[in-house]
Amino acid sequence: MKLINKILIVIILMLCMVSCSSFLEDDIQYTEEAVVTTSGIRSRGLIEDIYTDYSFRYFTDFSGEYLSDNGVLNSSETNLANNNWGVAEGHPYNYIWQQSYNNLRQIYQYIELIHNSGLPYLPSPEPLSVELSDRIVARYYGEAFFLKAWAEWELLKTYGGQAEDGTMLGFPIVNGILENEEYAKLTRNTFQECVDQIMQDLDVAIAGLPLNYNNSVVQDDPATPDVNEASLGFDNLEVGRASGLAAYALKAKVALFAASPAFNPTNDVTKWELAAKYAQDVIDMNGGLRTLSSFNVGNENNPNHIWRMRNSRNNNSLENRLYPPSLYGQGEVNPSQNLIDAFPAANGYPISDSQSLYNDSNPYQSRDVRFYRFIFYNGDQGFGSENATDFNPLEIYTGGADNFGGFIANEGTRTGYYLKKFLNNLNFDPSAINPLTNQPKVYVQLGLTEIYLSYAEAVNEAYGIINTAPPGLNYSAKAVMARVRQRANYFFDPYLDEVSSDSNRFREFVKNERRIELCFKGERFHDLRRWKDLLTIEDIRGVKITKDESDVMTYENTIVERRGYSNKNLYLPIPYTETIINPNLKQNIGW
Amino acid sequence: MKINIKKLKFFIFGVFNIISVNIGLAQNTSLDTIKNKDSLQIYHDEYLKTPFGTFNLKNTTGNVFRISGDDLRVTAGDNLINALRGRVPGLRITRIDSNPAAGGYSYLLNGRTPTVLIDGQPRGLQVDLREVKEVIVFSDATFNSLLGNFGENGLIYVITQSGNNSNNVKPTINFNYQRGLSTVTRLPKRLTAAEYANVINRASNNDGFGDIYSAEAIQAYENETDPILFPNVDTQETYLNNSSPTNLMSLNVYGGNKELNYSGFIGYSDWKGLEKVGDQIDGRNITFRTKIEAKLNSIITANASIFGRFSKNKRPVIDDSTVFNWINNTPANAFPIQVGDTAYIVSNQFQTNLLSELEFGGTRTDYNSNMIYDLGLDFDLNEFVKGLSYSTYVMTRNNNAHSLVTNNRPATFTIETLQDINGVDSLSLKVFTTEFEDLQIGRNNATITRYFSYGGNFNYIKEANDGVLNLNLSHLLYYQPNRTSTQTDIRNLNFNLNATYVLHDKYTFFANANSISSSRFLDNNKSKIFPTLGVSWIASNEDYLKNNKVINYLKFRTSYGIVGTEYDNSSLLYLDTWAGGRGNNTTYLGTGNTAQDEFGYRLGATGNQEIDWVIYNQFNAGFDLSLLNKFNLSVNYFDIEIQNQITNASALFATALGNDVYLPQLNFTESRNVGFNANINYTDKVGGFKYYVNANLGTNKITGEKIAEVPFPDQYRLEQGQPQDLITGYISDGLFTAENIGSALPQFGDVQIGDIKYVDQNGDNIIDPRDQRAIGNTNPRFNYGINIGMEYEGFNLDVIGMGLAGYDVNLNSISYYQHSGLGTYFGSVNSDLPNGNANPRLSTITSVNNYRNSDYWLVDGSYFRIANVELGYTLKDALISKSPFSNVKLFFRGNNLAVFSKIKDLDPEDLSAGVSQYPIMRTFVLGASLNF
Repeated sequence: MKLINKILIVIILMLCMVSCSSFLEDDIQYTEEAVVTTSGIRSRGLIEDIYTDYSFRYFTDFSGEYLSDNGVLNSSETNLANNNWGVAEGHPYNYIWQQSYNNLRQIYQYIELIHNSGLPYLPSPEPLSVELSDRIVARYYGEAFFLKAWAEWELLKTYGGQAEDGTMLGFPIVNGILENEEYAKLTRNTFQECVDQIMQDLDVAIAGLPLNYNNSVVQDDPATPDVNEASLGFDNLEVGRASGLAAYALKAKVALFAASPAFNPTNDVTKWELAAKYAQDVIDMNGGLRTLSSFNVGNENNPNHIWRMRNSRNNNSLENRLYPPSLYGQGEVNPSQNLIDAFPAANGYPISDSQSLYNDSNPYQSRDVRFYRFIFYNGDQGFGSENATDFNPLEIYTGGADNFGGFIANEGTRTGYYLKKFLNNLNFDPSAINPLTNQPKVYVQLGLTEIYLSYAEAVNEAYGIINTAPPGLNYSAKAVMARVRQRANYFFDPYLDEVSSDSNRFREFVKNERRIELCFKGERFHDLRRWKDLLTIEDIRGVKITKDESDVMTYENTIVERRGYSNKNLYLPIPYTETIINPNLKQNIGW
Repeated sequence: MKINIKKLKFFIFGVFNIISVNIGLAQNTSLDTIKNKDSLQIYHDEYLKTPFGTFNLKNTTGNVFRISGDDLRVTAGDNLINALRGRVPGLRITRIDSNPAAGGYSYLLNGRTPTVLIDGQPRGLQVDLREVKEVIVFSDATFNSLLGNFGENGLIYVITQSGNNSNNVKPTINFNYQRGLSTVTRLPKRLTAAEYANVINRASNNDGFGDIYSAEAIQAYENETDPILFPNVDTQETYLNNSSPTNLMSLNVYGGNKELNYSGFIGYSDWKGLEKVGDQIDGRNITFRTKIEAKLNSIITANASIFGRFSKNKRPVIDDSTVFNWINNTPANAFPIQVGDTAYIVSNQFQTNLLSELEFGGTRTDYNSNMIYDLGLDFDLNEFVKGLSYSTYVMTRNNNAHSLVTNNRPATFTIETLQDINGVDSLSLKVFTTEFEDLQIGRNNATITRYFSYGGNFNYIKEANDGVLNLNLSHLLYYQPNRTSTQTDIRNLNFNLNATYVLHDKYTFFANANSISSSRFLDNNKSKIFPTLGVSWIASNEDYLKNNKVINYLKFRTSYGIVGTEYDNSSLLYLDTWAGGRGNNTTYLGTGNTAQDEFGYRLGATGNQEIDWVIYNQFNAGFDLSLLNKFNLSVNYFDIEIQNQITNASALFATALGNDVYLPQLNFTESRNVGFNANINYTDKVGGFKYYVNANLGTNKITGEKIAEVPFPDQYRLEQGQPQDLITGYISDGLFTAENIGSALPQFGDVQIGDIKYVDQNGDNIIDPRDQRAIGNTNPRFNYGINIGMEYEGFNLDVIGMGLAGYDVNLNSISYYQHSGLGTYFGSVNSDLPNGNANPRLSTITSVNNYRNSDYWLVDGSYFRIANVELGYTLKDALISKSPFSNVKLFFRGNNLAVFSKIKDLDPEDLSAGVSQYPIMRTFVLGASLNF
């Protein structure tokens, strides 16, 4: 054989040998566990990550609201709300089961992989840093337990209910990480066990958390590097994290839910007493019965916001989707006439009351200030008050620009109203050179108003005493409600005086105030369930407005959508497929 | 039969690194005579030398279908897959995108996508119809296993034109020119302004909102008296031409002798789009291939080839789906396109003006280049070991693409009517978007993909007294690096050792051991060995049939083999990975608009170190029969069990375990693909009139045998044991009427008259997802082709038809049939659905009841299409004997000339064509082919 042939063959064989050995090892770039678990700062990302699940839930809240009597979506019918809720159907709270358990698992990942390993937050050996590091590690441990309690609360709120055998059940408590298969063998703990678990977790949280993140920080001064250290980790750069006050507020919220008729069938009064006590704890911790600051989700430093989250400021999805068509929005959320009717007249009396200033031929005049702040109505010209003139009057009448077929033909309102509550005053006209889209906007998970409302409700149910503080408590239900009413400009409030004389009337009053204050926060549907008022829910009404030649408006009530629920709807179904996979899970009654 | 190895050697270096070798009695079974069109039968020993083995196609235990390039070239254009439509039994080809530059077909062999090999190498579909010499389709384990990771669904083996090994040094030169004109097959029906206004009024009145358009307005739309305030714009007419031209030219040169063989091909194609205004789609490509093979000495023959395809396509910066969406979704009365010569108009609801984009929006030019190089060596080792040879090659393919883009924003205006102080209406234009001119040309979408393969084969042929032994030992290394460092490469090593033993020229025994390795597995799973066995029997070679007058040929064959493939995933499934980090799930703390530093980390995926190969257990059996020298029949049955498919089986786990990231991927799912394909062919000659009739049929069904699903108590919901292409949904019972609305069960939302009524399957008196069941299937159960051809006095006519049957189209997923809200409506709103059902109630808002999958929306999707037609005339020898030409043919070719289906408004082959994509085109081509 010629030499060249031999050489060629040898080269080919060598090529083969070399390539075979390392060729089958493919290294891709990925993040290994150790990258996270060995870094003091990155490892806490396991906790930071969980917050994003709770940070900007406006649209989830809205879809829950559509199930209630507060409003409808303008582009689609509402499913499930007309006695047609099948167990296997998707619903707005479907996601809670998996999300909550996923977060519980991630919290225990944090505790087992990172917290228990003793990994310090800061690597520095300086004594001061050690102290700071320990404080932050303790805070994260507190945050972990707050987030655990929050996930458990969402599970309890969504899935808690009576089983077929009459026992009141909660959710399966999982304190740790199980094998994947074992999750299909979980059984539901009793409702009370779940409440106790949440309270216990919150106690752990409170031990590690600062009461709040009020301390302001002096901007870094190189000359005195130690000045900041005392407050670092607890200062106002951390607002948005779980705080001690938030943990107290969650306790109050859970306790109120547990005391409510749907979950307290024997009407055990001690549960109401506990709910009142926990609500008072929050008020006390907050420095007494403070005046509520004005409603404003555009204020990132609102003292009413006990736990608030926020998104990037450059997010204008709310404005895009909620503004009425003539303001270049999609007018997605349409509050119902039922909700509009719940707003009192400007003197504080319900519009059905003979003493009210309400005039049904001019229904948007002389109404509660919250009506003007929360609702876009026909003729509305701006933010805040009846007389504001930020933009041209809305035309929500037949043939008007804000009706179907108007300025944007396929966007209109089904009820005659649009939602204004969470909006900033922005210019969304596409021709504007720089629409302002970076104004602050927060999402409030726990607010002081709600605590006041809960306190008043619990005190009334527990003691039936309204005008004075019941024994052992510091505040009267009436005084607390007065704070809520004062924010709505009722400094002289004869109607509050009137209802305070009667426990039943006061109950209805508190419920109505709660409906108004917390509307479109996702609370209404759950409130209706816990009060069992869901069974008597009204059909969704709207208004059809026509304008005659002399610009006189006439108002005609319409039925927009029928509503109907039965007893089974007081409790939501455990996810249908989960009950098939896990036969140990008892389904709620009626599903 | 005698095999002369010397003779074999003589033929082997005849062609390039892939050749067909005829030995023994070998007469070149010329495939271009009419008699053998679409023939499956191979009467004579015919060795196919591939980079992964040399095989005798006559005795093979495998299923082989062959079709010559000349037969395929009754098709207009340069697209090989188009030419294969209706030609190959079991090969289902459908148009998935009709863009003149980027369009393409999906091709499924027995229901799954086969691998295309060009001259035996894994190069992708980098080939031009005009340079194809032959296409061979292999669809059973005998051949599939040889390609390892590529072979699970069969092989389309394309042989390109190469030099012949005759002693004739004079090259063959072929020049081909085609000029074509394409017209639209079907476009969706649009509503006129008045029709649209009437429909909107109907929807609005259904919800009690009253008329949105007054009677006067509708009259004004009809009369077209005021084109500014009451426009009636036919957007299809405004923006689309009736036809678009295309030109194709190609030159083939090939020739050679014992020492040297060469071939060259160069092809040019250009095309234009349908856009009437602005920069229409305008592109061209050039394809070339040169191959050379030289005998260096008595042992070594070297070969090399270069393939290149370069394309450039200029188009409007908005893509074709945007163009067609805007054309069809903008109602005729939405806005006048322009006021004056300068102002582009939009409305607040329909905010896009296509004219402004086409005229002013900017252009994009896409450049694409594919270069493939290969170098091979053939070693004739006969002088050391008799019958031994080795051949090897390396191949690299580089694909580069980038685009140059200018993207302008046109100024648009809305029309407002204002009242002056006297109360007189006047028009004004309000700025909607301001103009922005992009002065820089941006370069984007730059991608580079590289492919590398290195293969070779030792072949040993030994003739014994009463049989022939053929041994192959092949190796193939395939490497496709991924530019993205977080994603996996493809790295495969493939070895085969196989033996074919032919006894008495009647009985063939085949066995192969395939060793395959992949970088996507760990430890022992990295390399696996899979066996294949095959047997065939040529019954017509038995003494009692040898001289039978009726049966010319009869062969039975069967094979069973296992093909393993690596999983298809961009990450390595055995790794635990974490996700998150900066910019990913950022938590916003504190106040202010500054960037946040808090970022989340979480588990990204749980690895499974045991992850293993996906297994295809392939059984195949068939026979080939030839009768009376006129009638050919081939039938192939297949039964392919697919095991170890990858899933995380989340349906079997409680969701309380958290997100799916905690579930490792498993080898779990099992399915089975069963079916058959058949080809029947009749040719005859009456005097000078020759004709043929050919029909082929493919059928298959893939059934899920083990799938991860929730064990629903309602048996009818379970999908295990059912076909995998099920459509699940509700069973409908017409629309609600005034008579039965009162007794309506709870369904979805607040049902009204005119909504779809569903049937309660489980008797619980509520309609919910538990009442869903299988209502249809999405994949055609049958695909078939009918080909007819004749030849007389130099004239030829070939008609290629193809069809699909046995499947359902779900109109609920096709926007053309979905009407809701006060937005876009199509012509379909004024007629019944193609299945005869009436449109459900129109509404201002979206019904939560009607737009759910149900049999109300299903329609039989079957269609039959005249895919390709050629009418040709070949000049008689007498006419050209004195010219330099050896052969001259003039032809007319037509593509997509007719289609027959239940769906009339849209093209059933691609229901988004014309609606949200380029329409399917009907093409007429005139051309000539000259041979020198």
